[in-house]
Amino acid sequence: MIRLEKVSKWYPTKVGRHYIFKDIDFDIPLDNNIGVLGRNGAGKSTFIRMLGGAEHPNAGKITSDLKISWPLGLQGGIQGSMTGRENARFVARIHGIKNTRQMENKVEEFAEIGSYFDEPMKSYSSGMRSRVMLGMTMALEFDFDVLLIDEITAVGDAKFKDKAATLLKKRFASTRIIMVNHSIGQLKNFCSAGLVIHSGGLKYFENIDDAVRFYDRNG
Amino acid sequence: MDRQIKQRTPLGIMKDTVFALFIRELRTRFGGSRLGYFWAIAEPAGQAALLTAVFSLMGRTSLSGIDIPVFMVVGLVPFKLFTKLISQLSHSVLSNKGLMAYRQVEPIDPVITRLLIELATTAIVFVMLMISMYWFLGYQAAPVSLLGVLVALGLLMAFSIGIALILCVLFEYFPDLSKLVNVIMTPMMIVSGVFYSASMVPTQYWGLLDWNPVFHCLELIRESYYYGYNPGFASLSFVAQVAVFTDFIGLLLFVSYRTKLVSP
Repeated sequence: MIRLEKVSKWYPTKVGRHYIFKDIDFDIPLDNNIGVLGRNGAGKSTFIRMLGGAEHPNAGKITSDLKISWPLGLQGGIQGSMTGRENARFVARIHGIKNTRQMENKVEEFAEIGSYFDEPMKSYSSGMRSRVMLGMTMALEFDFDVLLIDEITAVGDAKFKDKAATLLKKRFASTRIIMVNHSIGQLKNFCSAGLVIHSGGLKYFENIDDAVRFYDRNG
Repeated sequence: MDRQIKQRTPLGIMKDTVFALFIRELRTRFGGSRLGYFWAIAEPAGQAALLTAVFSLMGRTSLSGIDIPVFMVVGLVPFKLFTKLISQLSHSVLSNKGLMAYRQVEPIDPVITRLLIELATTAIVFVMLMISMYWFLGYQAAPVSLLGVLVALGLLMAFSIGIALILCVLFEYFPDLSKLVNVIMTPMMIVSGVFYSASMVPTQYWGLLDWNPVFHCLELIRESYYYGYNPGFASLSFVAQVAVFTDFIGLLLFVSYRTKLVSP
């Protein structure tokens, strides 16, 4: 379970604070994989990034005793001037892994991007980034209770999407997924529960179909 | 399943993170070319040689009774530490923004990393230059009071860190400010007494210089370095007060704006 206590998040705009969340208390149950729904700009990515600790709420706190991954998104989490290999090493090191060689090799193997693995990541396409990112979580043996995925399974070619899907499904038993994806089809494919971000609040549905229906009506 | 990620203490996580950042920084700083290490030594050595040449042309062999090359190195290396700490530390958060996405990486971690790198570089450069000046050129290069030198260097470091922390926060809101900082840092070398001492300045002009804690620190370093050196207006308690004050403000801002510092 991830607990949100009195969480507020806003962004400054020219006409004052734009609230994404205002003073919400919420417990996110993690019995099932959760697909996050919301209009553009509703704060889906921000929500995922806050769960992953990449952004802090402006007020309140988010607590959990689970091991939560960093937000696997298209922005952030990698340093463009570092190569894929260096980024993989970095992630291994901050997770306290001393022998990084093994991890590097696993990421390299999974990513299948050839010699690009030793090029700066700013030269990568979004598909290549996703390959390396997903490879990194995989190489960490998916040693997370919760995996936060922001769109990265939505990019890349069909072959990679298949590979990612197979990999994620294999881990369903031990790892829960919280996912943002603009494709409802993909969400339904991975997630059985849904969370709708709606006018500054959160609404949880045990069944993703109910979430989609609610979202269609109110979104 | 054997868990690969081990439970660590907060301090353990910080150590791992700083180590990871340390490797990354070394790569980008020196890794581009092997010459990186060379320039770290050659730059202050070259500057000291050039200034020595200028003063020799003016017909001087010593300043305040100290051999000019020694005087220059003792002033230049700490001054370099000051400018490097300001420029490196103040940009450390911005240039590692992408990595803040990881919960393990706190904004203070890249600051600590760069501080360690600059301190290590300064120590190595200082010792190597001093040893080679003693060895090859026969100058008196050992300090009278090593402790005194370290205290003055420590205060200079503390002051620089405070300023850099304040700049870290300001740069988040006003990135153009770094241009202004560059403009200010240029004349700092002249008003910090890198190549002259306070006692060479007529006392009625001291008011133009004694506001500058860097000048105080350089004079304090020289006072501990040479026997019977007249430190002019330099005051240890002034520098200590300025350092405590800037560190307090810097840390206060850094902690208060943590949310802003981690967000992209």
